[in-house]
Amino acid sequence: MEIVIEIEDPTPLFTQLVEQIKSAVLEKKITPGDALPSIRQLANDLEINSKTVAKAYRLLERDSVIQTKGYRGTFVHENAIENCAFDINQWIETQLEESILLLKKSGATNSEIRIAFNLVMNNNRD
Amino acid sequence: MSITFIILLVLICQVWLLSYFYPKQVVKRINYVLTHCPENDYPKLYFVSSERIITIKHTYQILNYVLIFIGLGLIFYFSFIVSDYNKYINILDDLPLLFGIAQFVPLFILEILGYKHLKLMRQQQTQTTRKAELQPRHLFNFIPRYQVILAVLTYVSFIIYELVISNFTLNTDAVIKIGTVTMVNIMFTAIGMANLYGKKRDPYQENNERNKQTKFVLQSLLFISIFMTIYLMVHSWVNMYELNYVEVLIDSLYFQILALFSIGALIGRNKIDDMNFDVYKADSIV
Repeated sequence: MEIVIEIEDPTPLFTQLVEQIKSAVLEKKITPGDALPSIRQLANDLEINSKTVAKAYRLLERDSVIQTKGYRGTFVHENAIENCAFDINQWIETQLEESILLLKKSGATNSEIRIAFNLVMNNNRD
Repeated sequence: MSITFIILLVLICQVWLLSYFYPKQVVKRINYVLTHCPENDYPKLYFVSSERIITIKHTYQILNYVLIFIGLGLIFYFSFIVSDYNKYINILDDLPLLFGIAQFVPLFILEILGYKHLKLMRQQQTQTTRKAELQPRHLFNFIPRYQVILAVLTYVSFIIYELVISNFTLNTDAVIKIGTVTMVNIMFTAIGMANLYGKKRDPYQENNERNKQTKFVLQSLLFISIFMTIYLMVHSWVNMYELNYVEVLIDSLYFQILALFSIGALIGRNKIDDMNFDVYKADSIV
């Protein structure tokens, strides 16, 4: 199983990696429990920065598509196929839409919502 | 059969193997590429012109002919002019070692030029598509576990052996030998790791070709490590009993076996007609 990335593509490299690994899981080219290459190996093979691969792996781990088992390496998560179908961006949009609708029903204006949103985001910086 | 005769026979074999037989195979591989992959059809393979490659090939051949001439000259001298081994013990003792090093020089030059060629290839690479295998590469995917254990056991045995024959006093000779073997093994580990996890030296190389090459490199390094350690153990044993003529023989055999594990293995296992050269065509996408 090979992954192909396009350096000139406007899609960020880590997104390309995440999408390709998710596609590989959905197409059953890699199955739950399969070992994945180390960050260093994949970064060297693709000739990209290892931080880019680390970011992609972090996002995939957050979505429970892959899991890191200490020194043993990184593996495809046992529920990877179900978890791949979950679109976090879609979920964020839905949650925000519901919250904004509720706020608007309570009489909050767009600018008040925007200011409050920015404040909350600034207070919760990583 | 006199000692001198046996030594000369082994030396003839060393000259033939390292300066005639293997260089001939290397030249055959160069010719194969030049004939089957012309510059116009395979531009990604030529970062120096084919004329320059032919010049390098001729220089390599001339260097080997010179070495054959020197080798045969020395054999002739010791066969017909000198017949008493004991009289020329010091010269004959170091002859296979020094001549063996000289015989590897043309190959080293070719290796350095090949390395520079690949560096140039990487610098001029313009393709924006990158491919990678989604499988981890582990040492034991390429070489059996028992071979690694064997190499470690040989290394440990060597240290114990050196300590025993020096009565646990660690003299200069033992320290140098243990230090050399340790340094070489560290260097081999680094080369092995670079091959396993490092960047591809040839940007157009396909993954299966790379895996084949990695397997070959790792196995060669492992065998050379084991063999070099055994060689030094035998060397210590020979020195202990002052068997100088045996030292000459094992020095010569060492270089011949070294060539067998490196060039011989490369030629025998990495058949050139099995290699995929399509990746170097103008319109190929790797």
